[in-house]
Amino acid sequence: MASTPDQPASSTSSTPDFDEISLLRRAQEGDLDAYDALVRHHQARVYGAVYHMTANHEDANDLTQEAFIKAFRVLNTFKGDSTFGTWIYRIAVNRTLNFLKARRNRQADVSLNDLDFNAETDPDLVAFVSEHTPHKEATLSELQQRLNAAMQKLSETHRLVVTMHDIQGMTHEEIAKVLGCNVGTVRSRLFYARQQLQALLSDYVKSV
Amino acid sequence: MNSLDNEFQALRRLLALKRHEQPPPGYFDRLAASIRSQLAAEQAREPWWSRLFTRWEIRPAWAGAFAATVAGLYVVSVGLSTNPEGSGTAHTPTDWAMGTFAAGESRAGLAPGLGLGESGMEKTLMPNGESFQSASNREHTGEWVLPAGFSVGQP
Repeated sequence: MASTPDQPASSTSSTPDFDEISLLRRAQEGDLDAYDALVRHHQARVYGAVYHMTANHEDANDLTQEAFIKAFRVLNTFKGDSTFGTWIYRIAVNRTLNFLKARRNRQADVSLNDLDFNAETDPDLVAFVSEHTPHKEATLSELQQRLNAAMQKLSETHRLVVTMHDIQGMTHEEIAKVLGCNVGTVRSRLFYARQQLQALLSDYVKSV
Repeated sequence: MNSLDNEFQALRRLLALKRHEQPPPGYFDRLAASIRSQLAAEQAREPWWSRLFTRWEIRPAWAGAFAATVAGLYVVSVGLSTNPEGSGTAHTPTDWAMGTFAAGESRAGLAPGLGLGESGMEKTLMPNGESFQSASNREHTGEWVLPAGFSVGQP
């Protein structure tokens, strides 16, 4: 695996031994080996975005596969105006938003991934629990449940900017590129999304 | 970190927990393999001409080369088909393509290099039996010279 699910977009396409342009050219000619290399390079970040939006591993798996397959079918239309990473990310996000729109009228199934081993020892998280959470006895798993429930209460557009910025570490400019809006819109959406989350998690998050 | 981020520092630290949510081990290997196998199955179902068109979209030069080849073959086949058996010297495909025999055509007002051969065109253009050579020997007026009884319809 070439990247982690929440790696920032800018760092995923410029590894010295990863010649994205040449791989793209070969993939456009139908070379599956080349496309496989592109998939392996970008899949984690794409999956991460979809997973944090849906809070469901199975849905994220399906939507990620669909996005990459759809992207391969229309790879000839990719003109290089953005990086392939941004392009495939945008396809996945659009499919996810459509999926969530269709899912809006029925109860969302939550199927969360387990926290990795490092979560228990992450100094930032340990410090957070001891400093900011009134519920000292809260386990990370409980926090995870509460956090995801709060995330699901946000509108899709607000959840999306929180996912991209606060979880995946993308810059405002990168988010604006993916969403096709200006940076000011991204900032204001992020502000309102955080405000809502803070209110929803007020008993877990004491502001500093 | 700007003031907006500072204001929500605690929340951001909590959101960092989401980065630790990971799919089962080996998941990404399986995901890539699954995407690849689905695409391979799709490619196997795709007809060969569809793949050819796809390649042309990527490299228009290939389409140009193919079109030039087809056009060349067309010219050669037209030349061969209008050259009746045993009526004079048959031109080779190279002659047709290069237009090396077309000297008489220029005198007849035909555009040079179009690949119209004398022996081949005599019977086609001259329905009244007048030879192509006699038509081409008329004084050139700058207009198309057509034999009697041979007219060109108005568009």
